[in-house]
Amino acid sequence: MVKGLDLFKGISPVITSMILIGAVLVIGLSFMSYAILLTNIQRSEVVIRNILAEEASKVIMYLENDRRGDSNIVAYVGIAKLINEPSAYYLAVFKANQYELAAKKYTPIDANISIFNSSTPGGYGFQRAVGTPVSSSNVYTLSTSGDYMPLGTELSLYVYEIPYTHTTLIKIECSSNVVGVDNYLVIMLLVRIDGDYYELLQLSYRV
Amino acid sequence: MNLRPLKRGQAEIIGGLIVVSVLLMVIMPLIINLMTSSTVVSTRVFSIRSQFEIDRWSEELRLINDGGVYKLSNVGSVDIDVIRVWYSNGSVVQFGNGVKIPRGASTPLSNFGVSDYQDIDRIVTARGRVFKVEELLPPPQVAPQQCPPLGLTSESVIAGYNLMDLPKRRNITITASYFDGDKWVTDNVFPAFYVYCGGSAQCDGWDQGWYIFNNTIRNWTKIPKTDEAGYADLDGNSAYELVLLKKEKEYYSVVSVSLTATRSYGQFNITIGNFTELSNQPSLIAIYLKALIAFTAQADALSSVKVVLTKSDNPLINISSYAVLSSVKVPGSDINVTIYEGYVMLPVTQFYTFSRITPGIYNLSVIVSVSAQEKTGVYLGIEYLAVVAY
Repeated sequence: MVKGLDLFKGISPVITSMILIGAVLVIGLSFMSYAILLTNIQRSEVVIRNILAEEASKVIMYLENDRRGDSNIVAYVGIAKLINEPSAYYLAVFKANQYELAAKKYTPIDANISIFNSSTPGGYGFQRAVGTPVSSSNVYTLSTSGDYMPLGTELSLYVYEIPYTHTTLIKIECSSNVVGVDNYLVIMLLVRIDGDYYELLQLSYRV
Repeated sequence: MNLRPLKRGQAEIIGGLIVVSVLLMVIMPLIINLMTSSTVVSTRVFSIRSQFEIDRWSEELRLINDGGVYKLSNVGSVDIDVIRVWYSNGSVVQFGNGVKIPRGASTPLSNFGVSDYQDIDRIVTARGRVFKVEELLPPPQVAPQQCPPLGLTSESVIAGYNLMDLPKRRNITITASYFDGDKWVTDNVFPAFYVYCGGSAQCDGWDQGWYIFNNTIRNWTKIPKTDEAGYADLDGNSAYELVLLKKEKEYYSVVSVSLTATRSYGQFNITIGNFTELSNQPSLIAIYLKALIAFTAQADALSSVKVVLTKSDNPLINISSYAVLSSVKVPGSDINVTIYEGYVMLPVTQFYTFSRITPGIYNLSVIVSVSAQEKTGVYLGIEYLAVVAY
């Protein structure tokens, strides 16, 4: 009987130690999981930034020609890829005054978008593009702080898919009244990642 | 066996160390991995884009005319692919794989479907450069402007003849008048010069003697006057000078303006009509002249020379300026001569009415003014007169 009591007296510190170590492991693993979760979130943002930075470096956008009528503006924008590899781009058109442009606040507008296709018979080869309506909460633009922020929550806009070619010419036609005198027509090139559209390049044209 | 329980403090420390180690071993590699991956991407991105931009802005095209055929020449340091051409009519054509123009090579415009560069509005390259055709034209060749030297040459001088040849110039007229301190004398005043043949009676087809200009026949007429030849070469350099003669009754005498303390101002006025034609739009006209003013007394005198260009058919159109000439006083026994020589510039485009209506025939007038506070006689001679237009 005395030997049994001694055994119980010996086991208690072992159990205590095991419980303590177990608790530490659980806490440690919890923290580790939390840390991994945070870093994964951060890593996915970094991955997106890296994708966008790499894509932006591989493409250029420039104004090739423009025409101004009494009430409308036609801008011809060229897009060229540095590296001949397939990628899908999208186009959106906005307006902004000089202050909004500096603050990177854009308002979507309606425009006629046509894409040059040298095989199109007649009409200088431009083929009308069909836009896809998207919510502004799915469109991320580069803010003044350098972070990607959603365009808004209550707006909707059209994005136009640019079929892949090494070099593309896009005709953007809109009413000068819609943009406003002394305002800017902002043509934005976007790339789609996981269902969201991210700003890649931007070209502003003063009306 | 006697298992001694761990002391409370030691257990907590050990537990804490385990937690910290777990955290460090898990999180640090993740952070390092994140930093490394973002650095690698940005360096590659920068390298690709930098090289592209260098190539893009090294592109340079020029339009050349090679024996009547217009060609597009690559004068840059990289090969160029022309992918699109915008034409003057507003249309645009894309060239499949691009029209390649290697560095230093040229390609005829016929490769773009035109023969004249004016049919093209702009050219687009594969690197996104847009060249407007007017930017590709070579700079206009401007012929170096010929500025005549200070000495006169026949190519640069548009009007400047010796006295004998003046009538050969179209419809030249020479009129003269003078103010003798009291009144203007306009009648019977004749521009004249004296032909000196040494001991001979004749030289170069001219008889020795005085000649006056006859505006009716627009030519020199010999007159039966042989004296006062010295007044026709005031500085004695054996060059003929244009002087004024006045006719009183049948006698010609050299015009001398007599100044006194009370009649202290005099003026000579010589106008050569239809002297020069200005057919281009000159921006600067220079008038070269040598005028000699002789004073019979050692008077303290002021003199000035003014030149005037007046349009022959419209006297309201005129430009004038005082001639700031170099001068030197040449002492003489009975007559002291001041020689004025040099040129005066007339900045044509700065005169109020001149620059817009320049082309035409112009008269040239020389107005010599003199003033003296003492009694003296004044003689005038003009050795040369020339107009140069720039």
